[in-house]
Amino acid sequence: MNIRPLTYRLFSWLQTPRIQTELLWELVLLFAGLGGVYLLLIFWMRNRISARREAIRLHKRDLAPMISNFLFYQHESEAEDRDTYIRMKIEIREMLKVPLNREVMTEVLMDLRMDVSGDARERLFQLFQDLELHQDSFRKLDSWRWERVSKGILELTEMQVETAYPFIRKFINDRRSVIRKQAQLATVMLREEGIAYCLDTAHFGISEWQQLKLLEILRLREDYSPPRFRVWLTSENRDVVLFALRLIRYYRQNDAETALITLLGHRNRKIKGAALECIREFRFVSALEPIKELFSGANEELKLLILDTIGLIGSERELGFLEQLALHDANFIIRSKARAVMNLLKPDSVLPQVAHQESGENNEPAHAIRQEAPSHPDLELPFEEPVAQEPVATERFVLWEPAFPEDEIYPAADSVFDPVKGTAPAHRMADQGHEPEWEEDEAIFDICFLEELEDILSGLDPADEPEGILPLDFLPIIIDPSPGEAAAAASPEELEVVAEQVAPEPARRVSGPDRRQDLKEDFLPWIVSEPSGSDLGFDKTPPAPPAAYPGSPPDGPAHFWEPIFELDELPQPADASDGEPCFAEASRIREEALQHFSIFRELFRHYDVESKLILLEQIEAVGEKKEWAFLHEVLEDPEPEIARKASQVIEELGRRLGLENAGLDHSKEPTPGEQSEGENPVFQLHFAPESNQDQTRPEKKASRAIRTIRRPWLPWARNRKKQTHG
Amino acid sequence: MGNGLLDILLEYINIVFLTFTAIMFALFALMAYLSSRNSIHYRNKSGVGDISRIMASPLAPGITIIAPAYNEGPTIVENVRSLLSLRYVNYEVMVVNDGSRDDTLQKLIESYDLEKIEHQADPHWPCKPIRSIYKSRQRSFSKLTVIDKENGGKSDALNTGIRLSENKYVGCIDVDCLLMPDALLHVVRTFYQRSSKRVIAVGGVIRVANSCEIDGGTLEKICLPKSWLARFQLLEYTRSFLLGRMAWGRIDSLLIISGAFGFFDREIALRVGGYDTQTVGEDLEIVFRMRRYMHEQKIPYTVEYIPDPLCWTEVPEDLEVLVNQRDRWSRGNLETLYRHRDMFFNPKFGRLGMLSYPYWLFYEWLAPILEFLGFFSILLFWYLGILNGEFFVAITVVVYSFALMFSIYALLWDVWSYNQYTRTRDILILLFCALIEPFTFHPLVVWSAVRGNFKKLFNIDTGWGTQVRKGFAKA
Repeated sequence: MNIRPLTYRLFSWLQTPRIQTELLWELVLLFAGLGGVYLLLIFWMRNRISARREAIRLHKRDLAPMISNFLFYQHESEAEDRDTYIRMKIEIREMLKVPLNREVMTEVLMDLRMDVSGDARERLFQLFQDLELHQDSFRKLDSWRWERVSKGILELTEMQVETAYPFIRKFINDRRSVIRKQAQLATVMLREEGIAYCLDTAHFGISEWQQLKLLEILRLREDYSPPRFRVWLTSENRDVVLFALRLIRYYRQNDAETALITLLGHRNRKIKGAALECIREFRFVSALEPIKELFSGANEELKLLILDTIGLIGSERELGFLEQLALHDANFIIRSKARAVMNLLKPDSVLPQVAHQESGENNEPAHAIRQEAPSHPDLELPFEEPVAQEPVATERFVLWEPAFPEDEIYPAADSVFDPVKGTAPAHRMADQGHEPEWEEDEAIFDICFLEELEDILSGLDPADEPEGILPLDFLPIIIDPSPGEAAAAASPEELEVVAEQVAPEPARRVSGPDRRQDLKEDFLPWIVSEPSGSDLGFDKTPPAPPAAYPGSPPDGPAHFWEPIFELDELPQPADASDGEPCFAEASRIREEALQHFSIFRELFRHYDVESKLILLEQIEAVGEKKEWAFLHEVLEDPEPEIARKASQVIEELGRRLGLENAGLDHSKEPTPGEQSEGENPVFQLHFAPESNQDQTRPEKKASRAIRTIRRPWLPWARNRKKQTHG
Repeated sequence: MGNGLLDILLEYINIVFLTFTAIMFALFALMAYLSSRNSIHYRNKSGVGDISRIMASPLAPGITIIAPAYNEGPTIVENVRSLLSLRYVNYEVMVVNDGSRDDTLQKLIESYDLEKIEHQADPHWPCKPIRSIYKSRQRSFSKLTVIDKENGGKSDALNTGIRLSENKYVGCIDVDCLLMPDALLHVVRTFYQRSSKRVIAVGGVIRVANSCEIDGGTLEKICLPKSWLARFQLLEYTRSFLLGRMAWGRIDSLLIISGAFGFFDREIALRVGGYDTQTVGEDLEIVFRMRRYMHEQKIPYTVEYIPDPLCWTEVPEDLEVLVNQRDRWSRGNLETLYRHRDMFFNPKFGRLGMLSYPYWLFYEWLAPILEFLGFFSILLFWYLGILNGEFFVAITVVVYSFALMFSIYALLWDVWSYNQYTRTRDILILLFCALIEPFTFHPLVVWSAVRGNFKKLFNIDTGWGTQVRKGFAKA
């Protein structure tokens, strides 16, 4: 039979390709083999990891005491000690001929750098170079593997090998991001001018994380005077501009008003936001119109920021703009915020009528939450208030103001006074109709202030602190006055009139920071020394960092900071000198508390003799005047060695702090009253966690030093303890 | 001729099976390669520097951890304490009591000295009514906010938290999860590490905490679960998180952020309307929507994944609970895939449409159904006498050996990355689990998935089901 070609083709097409079952079995073998290899690898890797870990542990055990001896070796030691020291030095050099030992030694030194401070730290850095370990790190810079280069940079940076600066700098625009970032950090860390170089030359973006780290390095730098960051506001690198803005804000460099206002028109949203934050921070009134223009195209976050800023720098002229928002903005949060700002600018412009009725009937806070819910079935409530039945004109202003008591609103309104001059901006003073309101405000202020003071005087009981329970949003913001605005707008006649009307208490009250706002943002009140009218120019003194963070030093255990944080909650004494009675009292309490507060006291109580002696050494190195009282108590210690050491420390500390005549005379103990403002322990304490001045950060140094003792693996500390107990 | 055609048809069916298997092998091999590269890269990168220095930086962004709680009475106090002890300054813990019927709220009030505060909420935000908001009178718990609302489900509770939060980022977690102290630092680093793209969401590895010793909210000792069901899940999680998600993260195509540990850019989450309350696969769905939104807005973005073991959770040890959970997951898959069906092989969505979506459709959703049908086909073919026995045995063994190899490979990376199960016995047990999993645990998972799909297709609504919390073992 003849098969037609077409049929044949169709038929052949229907023939399926044969599946090679043998191939499948071969695959089985392959997978089984691979599985077996992986299995072996698992156990090999586990063994390797364990073995290496154990080897490193043993090496560390051998090396750590040697390093400790190096670090704490006294050149005036006895001959026997010197002999031991030299032998150890030879031994250690022998050990370092083994590459693993060099690695471990580097690791040990890197670990140890976080546990020592002061001279010991310097010696540690010196030791790193003496042992020529930095040469290994330099060699890593030539590696083709980015992780090795990065590690090399890290080692050189952390061990403060300053000669590495020019070698590392060349990596600042490396195409490999990890190396580039590490090089940027190193550049900033190794030299003070590094930040300028970094910002000048950075081609690539600087991520937010990198910015955080760079700022952290700058924050921890001692005796640092930052460059004028406005120079970089014109950079073509968007991230450089953004970072410069953040640095300007952090270092409170208020000399870039025009540039900041110009940047409000930047295409980048983050830059706009950062510029706006600076403007808010520095209260540039001239930015008001550009800010309002910015509003329409902004997102919710930026809009809230804009409203906040208007609340701070605006006047009643902005009420129309705000009212439009309060009425017509589609976003509930913006509407609410606009109302809150209206109340800030003009108290009682938004009245909490319905809310008062509600609170009179039922104090359930849920009322406030549920008010605007009638349209949504899920939000309908059995006790729904007849909000919708209210006249529209009322309804628009009755929404949710009672969340905070009236007496918290009024201070905000009054805060436009200049606390220094006792003046108010023209827009407020021109409004003579406000006079009775001022009096009423004053009365409320008195009550509010006394309540506040009572809280303060009731001590440091955390349970009494209201911060944790206050609503944090949309509360009226207590504005710090814009001295520029006040100075520019108020005539001398008006100043006099108002000065007679305004009692100093409320003015001082409002000059402080908004505690609730601070809590929300950074949990600690800022100490803001408001510039007076004459201080409007750029402040040439190194700026005080604006915020301190409790329990969170970058390298200190949180519990050391806890008491400091609580003390910081006390009122600031900056104005105590002008005879303000209530604040003077609060300051006195605060100072008393601080005077008796020594970070060493508590630790001292629990340590053995040897450790106490070490603590005393640390006090000698990093102590402050507030250790004075404590040292004198130690003089009476039953242990003669301790008493003797305390006496030495007092002498040394007295010399260091310029108290030459202090000696051991208790009567020479400095009292808070004797201290100048700059030396005031209150200031020192408050700024301690943030300041670049090492002298102002005794707690941090102390905590580092103490941690040296606390770290159980540190053999020298352990050995000493053993000896003591033995 | 008739038999000839049937033979041909059967041969083609075999070829289809073989091709499907080959594609799966190829995909898994690729996945293993990508995840390995990503793991190595991540390890090298994260080995440099100390992230804890940043925890108090003034530029560090605020994070709100939202933890929905429903009938969590036995464990809530301890769990919240753990959340309050994280190493980060600028964060808030927002526990949303989703109308619990037990004493969850009361325990919180008593333990943390809570009092009602007044607060406002957007009335137009679609979530169940809020009854009250609480803050602690004690400063030490000032980071804690408790929201008491009417029951509306997990998504609804999370949406409430997202709305009420004021921080830049929100973390949506299960309240019974145990976060490692540095978890937020890792999250912030991940959100902040990109300069060219906006990171809209960050997910992480979920580790199994069953039988681990926990004290004071701290993980004291890592132990292998005692329950076999939990052990299988541990192996499964290791495969999924260490190889699967790591690989998808490498090519920026991650489509799911686990509901137990997911952090979002609050602004974008709000823009897309928060979690979808109409689906039980809300964690998958919100990532779909956020990605879609960013694509449509043409904003460069990414979803990141942290391979560090930052979150530990209790997995079901009860069979019924497990089946319900997997049933829910498969329903969630189906709902989400159906809702976003226009993405399927849609080049407009880039890798999302051309790679991630098809993967989810063919592997995560379709594979269990095919397996289930395949099983019955085999029985049928065997009954009809048309089963190609040689081919069947060969391909079954190939698939098994590949699955086993893949599991061992996952264990290898687990050892390389974390090496947390230090006893040799633990590794041997996990290997044994890998050996028997295809015959024991896997059929359960397949069955649950089929049940979920069946329920969804026939509108049998069972919601979330229940999960009984045992609580972590005390150290």
